[in-house]
Amino acid sequence: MSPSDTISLSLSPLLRERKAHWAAALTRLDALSLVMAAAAAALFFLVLYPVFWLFYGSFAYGDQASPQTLLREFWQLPGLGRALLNTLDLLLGAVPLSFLFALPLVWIVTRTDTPLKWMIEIAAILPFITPPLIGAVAWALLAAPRTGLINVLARELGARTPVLNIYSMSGLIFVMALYMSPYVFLTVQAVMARMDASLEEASLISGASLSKTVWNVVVPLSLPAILSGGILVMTRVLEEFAIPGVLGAPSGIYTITTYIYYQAISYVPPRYEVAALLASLLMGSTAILLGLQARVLSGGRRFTTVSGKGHPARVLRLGRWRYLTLAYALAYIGLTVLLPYLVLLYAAFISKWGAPPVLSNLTLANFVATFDPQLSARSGLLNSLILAVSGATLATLLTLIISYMITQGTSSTRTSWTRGALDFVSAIPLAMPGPVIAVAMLWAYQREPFALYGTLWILLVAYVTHYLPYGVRTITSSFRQISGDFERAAAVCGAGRIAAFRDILFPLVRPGILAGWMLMFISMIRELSSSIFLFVPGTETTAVTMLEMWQEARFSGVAVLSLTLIMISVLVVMMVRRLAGAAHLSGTR
Amino acid sequence: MPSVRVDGLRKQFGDVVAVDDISIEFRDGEMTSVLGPSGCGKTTTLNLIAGFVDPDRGSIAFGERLIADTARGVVVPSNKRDIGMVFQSYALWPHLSVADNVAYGLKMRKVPRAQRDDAVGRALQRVRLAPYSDRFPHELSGGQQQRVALARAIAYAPQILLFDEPLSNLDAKLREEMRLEIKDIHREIGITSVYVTHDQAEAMSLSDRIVVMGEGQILQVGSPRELYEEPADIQVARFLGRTNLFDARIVGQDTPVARVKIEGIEQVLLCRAPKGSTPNMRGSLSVRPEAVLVRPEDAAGPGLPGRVCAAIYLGGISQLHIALDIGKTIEVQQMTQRAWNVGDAVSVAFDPQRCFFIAGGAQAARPVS
Repeated sequence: MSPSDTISLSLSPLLRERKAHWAAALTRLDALSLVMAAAAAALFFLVLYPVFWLFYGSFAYGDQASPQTLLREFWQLPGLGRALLNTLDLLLGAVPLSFLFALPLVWIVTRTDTPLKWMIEIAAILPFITPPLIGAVAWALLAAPRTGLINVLARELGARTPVLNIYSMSGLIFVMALYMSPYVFLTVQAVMARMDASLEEASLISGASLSKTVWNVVVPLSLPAILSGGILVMTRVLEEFAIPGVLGAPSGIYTITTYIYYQAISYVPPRYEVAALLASLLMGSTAILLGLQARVLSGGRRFTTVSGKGHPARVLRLGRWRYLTLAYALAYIGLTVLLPYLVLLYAAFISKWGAPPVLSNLTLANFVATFDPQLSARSGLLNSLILAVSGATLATLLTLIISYMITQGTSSTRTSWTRGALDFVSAIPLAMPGPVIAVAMLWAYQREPFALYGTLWILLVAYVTHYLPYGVRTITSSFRQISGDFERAAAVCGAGRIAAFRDILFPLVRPGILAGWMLMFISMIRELSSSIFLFVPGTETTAVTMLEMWQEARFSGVAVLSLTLIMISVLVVMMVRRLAGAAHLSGTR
Repeated sequence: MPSVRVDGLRKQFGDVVAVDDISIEFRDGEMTSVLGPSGCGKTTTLNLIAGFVDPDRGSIAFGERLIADTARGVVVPSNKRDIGMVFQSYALWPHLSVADNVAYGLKMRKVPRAQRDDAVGRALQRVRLAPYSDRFPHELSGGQQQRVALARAIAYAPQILLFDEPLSNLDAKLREEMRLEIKDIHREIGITSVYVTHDQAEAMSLSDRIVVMGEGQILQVGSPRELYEEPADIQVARFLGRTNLFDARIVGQDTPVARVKIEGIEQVLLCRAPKGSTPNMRGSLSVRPEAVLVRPEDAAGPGLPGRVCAAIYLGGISQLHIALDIGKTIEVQQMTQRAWNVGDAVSVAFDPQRCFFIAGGAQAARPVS
């Protein structure tokens, strides 16, 4: 073999023609690169611009000359210390309680022969689907000291004082724990269901008792999942606005999120610097917790035993005790799903609050009244629909391009550095609960050159920024399941990057795109925790209207809107499943 | 059909030089295998030809057409190279039917509907899958999927056909069938093909020529026969089939036959040697297992004494491990004629026609594993 130094490189007509081809290819490549550069710029702007203003705002607080006086001044804010203590109380109460609710369910579902297990498994994640706002409202309708149905009923039966008071710290903890328990259930159940039973059997054969086996084998193996579930619940509790807003605020129990709203933003005049400082604090703690969770999870990978291989654990035969476990599961479902939804139905259809639910007392008048054209509920629902459809669609388009850039492409023009930066920046909003997003928006978009405050735009920008991590997570994971060879095979066949994306990649990630859209739509249609900061009269959303109606004690209206929201969510889920199902039929494995 | 010329090609990933300044021509219409252990740079070479990876230095040309040249800043993207490729993972698009998979390259070339259907039909006919055109990939077996991938690669009659270990996901029996099928199809359409594999049997049975690579460089290029009978390098000798290597020194040259001396053996042995070998040249004597004659200890004629330490009966042939008295264990393969038992004392001789002297390389003393 000889080195091919003899190749003639004369610019034959053929070669010249090829050059023209490359020129064409270059311009096409540039169009796509332009789109990608624009998407990256949009992402960086959407996330970093408000974060910059949030940090700027928190440094603008008080007398910057002396940190000591600043700190002292900060601590002397009326009610702040109380609010922080309340937040701590809530964490210390709700996190363990959510485990207490969820762990027995995990055990029942994965290790026992309790009847109706499949139903329990579905029901255990139902509170997950219920927006916390609706859960809180439902529980207030049930157990408010004077008007709550349970207390009304008790009064009828002769009780002198209310039997339950949901407007208290313990009420807050209880409802919070109920709606956080699905997070625990999902994370721990995933591990327990896949745990190889031979590990436990090996321990039993080695002579360890059942309790020793649980302590020495099962607990250590599921510890990463338990820890990670616990941290997840902590972040959720920290950032929750609706539950403390509905159940705590009426009796003056503020947590960090409601304090930011009621004592800083709604304060006259608004204390934006205080809000920024508190929001930064909240963002910092969330970021730390999420970082911790990531470490726990990556540490957990050492336990390669949870690999999905092996055989599932033997089911414990409970005998007649299985009715006790069934009763437990039913009680859980009753508290989280059945009672709340029944009371919402009652409130939506009853003509007079407290009346017995017989046919003559039922009416549709509440629906008519709620959607009266003169009232804000109608325009609020319209706003929510506009925001959720356009927000989810915009965010899907943006995150689709970002996800493509993070996961795909063999081209060396995009280095791993860019991928890492995109991945990181798109994850930042995960550490920004609704109130933090809102405060950052207020700082960033209340001033030139982007004065959006007072329009629907600021809500749209807030929603897209807040939920884009959901899109990136869902769509990148579906890109990652696609072998790079698919795109290469298309290139070899003559497809340019655009054609390969259109014909090959897009159809394959379509289910992921639909799922991402759905997730973002459902989050946006129910959004409360940032909307409440950003709306002005005329740009209310449904959740905002609900909270307003709640404060005006218009229970039936709140119930009507709750049911409407749930109906819309269910319809969208069904629609998307249909679409994704059709994609599945066309051959995607 | 154009040839594929690669000149001074180099590619580095971080600190690792995957392809180190290689130059080679894949001849017009031939099936050339690129063979080597994993990490030898063969896949990177293929990816450079396919355009999935851009070279750091060097040029690639298909016939007269320059495909990549770092000196001129030319890189034609994969989709403009007019190549076909069969992937190890098949890479059949799961959402498209068999016919749509095969038709894709034709669609991209804007071939009119009627002609396209014709070409798809012909390609599927060629791989004997015509009745499966409406199926989806996941409804086919592994072997069928790989045949669809082959049909997809040839349907639009590309100038160059690339294979990236296409058979390594199939079981042994299917692999042999597919080998024959690929060879038949190649003979019919006579397209310049580059076939990357780590399986020497696959390379030997399929290719007109084999390129053996190691550590980013080309070790030897030649027909399967040349490579087996006259390896230029002990790595090549080891990689193509099994062999016994002895440190050796040439004591007399009588081209193409040389007389060599092995440490610890009185006798001078005869073997074939490459052109340009000179007396006193040091190197390795490669003795293929089938080049060893085994006789009882007391047989007449010259021979090296040894003892059978393992005997494996494989039907028509038998494998023996023989510990020579000079302290080296060799591997022997012969037609089964008589039964040898462990412990039998034997006398072995080497067939000079099947022994080859390889210049250089002092690592020959390592026992054959």
